[in-house]
Amino acid sequence: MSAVLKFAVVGHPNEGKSSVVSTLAEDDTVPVSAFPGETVRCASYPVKIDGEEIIDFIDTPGFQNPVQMKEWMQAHGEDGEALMQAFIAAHKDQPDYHHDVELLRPIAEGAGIIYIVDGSRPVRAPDRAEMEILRDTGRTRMAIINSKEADAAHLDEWKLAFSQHFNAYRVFNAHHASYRERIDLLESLKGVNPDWQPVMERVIETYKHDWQMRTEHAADILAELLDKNMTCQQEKRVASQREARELQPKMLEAFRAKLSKNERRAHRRIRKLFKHTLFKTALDEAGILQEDLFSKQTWHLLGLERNQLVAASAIAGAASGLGMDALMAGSSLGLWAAGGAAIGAASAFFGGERAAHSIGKSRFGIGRLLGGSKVQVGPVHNPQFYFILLDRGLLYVDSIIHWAHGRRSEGVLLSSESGEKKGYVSGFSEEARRCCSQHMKALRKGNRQELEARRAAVQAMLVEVIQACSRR
Amino acid sequence: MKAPWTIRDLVDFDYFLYRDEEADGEELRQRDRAFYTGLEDLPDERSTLFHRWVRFRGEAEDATPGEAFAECFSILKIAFPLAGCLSGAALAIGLLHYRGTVAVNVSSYVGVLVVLQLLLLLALLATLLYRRRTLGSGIPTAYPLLSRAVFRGSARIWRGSLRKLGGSQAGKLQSGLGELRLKNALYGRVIYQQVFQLAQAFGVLFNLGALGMTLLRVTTGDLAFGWQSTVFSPETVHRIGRSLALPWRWLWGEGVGYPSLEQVAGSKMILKEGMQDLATSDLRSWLLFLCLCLAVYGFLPRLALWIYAACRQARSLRCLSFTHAAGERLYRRMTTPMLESAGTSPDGDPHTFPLPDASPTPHPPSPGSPGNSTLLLVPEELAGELEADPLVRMVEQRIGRSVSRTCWYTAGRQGLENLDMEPHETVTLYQEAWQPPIRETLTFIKQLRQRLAPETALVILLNGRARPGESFAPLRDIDRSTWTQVTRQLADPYLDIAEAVTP
Repeated sequence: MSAVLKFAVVGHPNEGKSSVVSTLAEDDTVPVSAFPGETVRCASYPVKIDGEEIIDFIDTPGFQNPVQMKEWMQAHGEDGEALMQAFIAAHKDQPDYHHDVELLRPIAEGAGIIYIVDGSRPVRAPDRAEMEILRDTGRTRMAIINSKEADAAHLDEWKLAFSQHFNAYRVFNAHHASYRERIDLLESLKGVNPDWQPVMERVIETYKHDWQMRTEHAADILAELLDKNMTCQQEKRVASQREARELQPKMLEAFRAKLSKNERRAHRRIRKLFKHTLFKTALDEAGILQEDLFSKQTWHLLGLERNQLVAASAIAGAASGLGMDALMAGSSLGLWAAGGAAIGAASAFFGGERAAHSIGKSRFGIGRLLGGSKVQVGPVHNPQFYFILLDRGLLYVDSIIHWAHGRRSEGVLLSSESGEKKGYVSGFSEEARRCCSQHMKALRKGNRQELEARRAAVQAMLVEVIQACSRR
Repeated sequence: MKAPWTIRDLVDFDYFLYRDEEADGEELRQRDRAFYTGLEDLPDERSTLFHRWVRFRGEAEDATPGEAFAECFSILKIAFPLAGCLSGAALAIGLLHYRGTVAVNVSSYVGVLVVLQLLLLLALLATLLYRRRTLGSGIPTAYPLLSRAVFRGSARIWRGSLRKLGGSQAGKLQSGLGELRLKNALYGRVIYQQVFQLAQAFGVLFNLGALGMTLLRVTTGDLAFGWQSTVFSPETVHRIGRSLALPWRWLWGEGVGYPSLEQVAGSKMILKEGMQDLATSDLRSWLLFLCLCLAVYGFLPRLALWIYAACRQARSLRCLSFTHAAGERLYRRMTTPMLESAGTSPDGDPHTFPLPDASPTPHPPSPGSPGNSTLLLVPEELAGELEADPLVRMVEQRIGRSVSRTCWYTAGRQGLENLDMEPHETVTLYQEAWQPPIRETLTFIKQLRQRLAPETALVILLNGRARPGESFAPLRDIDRSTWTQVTRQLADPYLDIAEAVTP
């Protein structure tokens, strides 16, 4: 078993050390606060592979007396580990130096240094003192410019300072870092010290495999949601037709609640898959995903454009017509297919953008049974519903993989004044839309073999979409 | 003539200032300026001016905390002496217990009512002397040595607890404690003297109660006083009695003011022999001595201390300068004219634009009021980023004082040592608010304070993160609250925070 690679994440207070640790370790339980000095003692966030601890990111308190520390160290005249040990021994009982001693401990014990700075502010005397102290420790060190604000006016100033004191540096936004940027950061760490290379390679490889697994799993969850919600139906026995009519509003409400619940459950599974616990409270409350599945806003912003929907529905309609052509052994010369396509297209044109509240209504039926009636709601045949479900799912995945674990602020509300669609599916290729339409049709027909094949195709397409999204 | 401040007024004053912290700055300026300009005769003293302001603010309130305090305190002012009187009388009853078989033990009476009080008195005097030497440090208590030991012990536990808390929680706790210490630094002496006076009132009435009960028991009953000792001879006891009677023996000599040797020998009790053989006149010879002991060693010192406390408190109230940061802000609001430029909107309605800053009008300086100039301290590393003239103009606008000179200092110990400053010079420290207030910065501020006279104003002028091409910017809310909270921990009443740009 190899030794654990330790990284002390150090820096000035309130520069985002905890955010960086939280993002790198994919742990959103790391306490992060806008108030400086929230971290008062070192906290360990290990990365494990098959239960074996490989890397340990150590979140440390911020420097409290950098200039005085530098003066003390310069007067002391030693270097490296001896200097750190001497400083710790001399100051361990001084309350004013508690944070400084605490942050030096892991470095004195051999941890590599990741120095965090906020690149949106200028370099000041305490920063220079901190960099000199870290240089004098003699440990391998890398600087991360965590640009908390979009302002990059001082980036060059920082880069110049780092070039004098650090083995490497990298710009990394702990609040918006994607999977790709996390991998890139680990790649940079790998290059800083040749001794770290084997371990870092193993970690990066495992990260990549793990990400691929998560991507496939997320696509599977979304495909399963589509299956579930597009075939969902509810039935109830009633004594009379009058009772059935009275029951209609309640049944519709319950049906929609069921569809929403299925969607929420799928989103929760995705959230867990990407190791987020705070995400719901942080983003859902502000974004389009907070909107109800059946809200006007959702149907306005998501799903396919009308012309796209017409084409997709035509394919789906033709698919059903082809079945009738097959039954007539081709003697109908494909008329059924053409007719089905025309009906599907027409219904999409006139009804595809039908208001969300009509969901389920068109599929409300009352059948006569012996001794009473049967009321049935669903399944939904509106093709736009399929695309909206898919769009919301993909948006959720997109948000969650771009929501760094170190981020604690609110999401951005998706809005459209021009009436343009803002989701994913309106940007799908024709092939992808066809793939979806065929899946939708297979769901309607209920042929298990065909459904499995179509589902696999949709899932593969979704994996590609999520991968493209991860690379962004 | 100075206004007669009371603790009730101080409570109200502090309450009004506290409320003003949350209020809109422009409204405060208008209100306080209107009050000031509305005064028919401008008082020379700042304390008189503020006293009138408290009354003015109080008129607009149905009830103030000061009234509640005064009501509670008036109850205490009765309860304490009453409790003293009752406890003194009760103790005397216990000590004067006599059924004709064993005489009242003079040693017990003197030991409990006189010697014990004398010891407490000596401890108190030692404390007062100690306090005089270490004035202004720590919380005033009756027994500073004991309290210091307790504080040191609890400080260790406190620091240990703080380490377990996150920065924001620990900061809030320390800020709250700092607020308490700040109030203590401002009004601690006055409050202490009030409590001290209350304790002396208890002592005075305790002695009066004991004395009154002794006289009542003697007047309405038959009492015999004697002494017992296996070790001491009558000569020794007589000598002790004669020494104790030193303050009055010129008036009431031997045999009257204190027992003679024969009377002492005649009142010695030997328990196995009983009291039958002892002369009644000898057994009564201790009465005046005991009463005078109680009056001279118990009652009179407590009365003197009560008068001393009352005088000291009156003096402390008279000496309140109100030059602390909050007082300075109020004073500046009152004395700074409101400049307005009037315009006319397109619909014809005139509207006014109050200008945020202006120099204060000359006002007769009150004793203790700092001069109207300030030394400006700016980190040397900002020399390339800040132009001196706009900086000075901004400081003069925001602080309301002229900048006497600007010192560009370097960070670190050497930087502070090299600073050329006078102890009574008001100092303005330029600070970038986006830099978190780390321990080192706070230590620098503390050391700066130590180089200044205690009541000299120290202003931290905070600037936000300016955009390229600009020098000054408003503060972010988080920076403002962080700096406010952290500076509160310093518990320095003469430390103020100002902002480079109006929020």
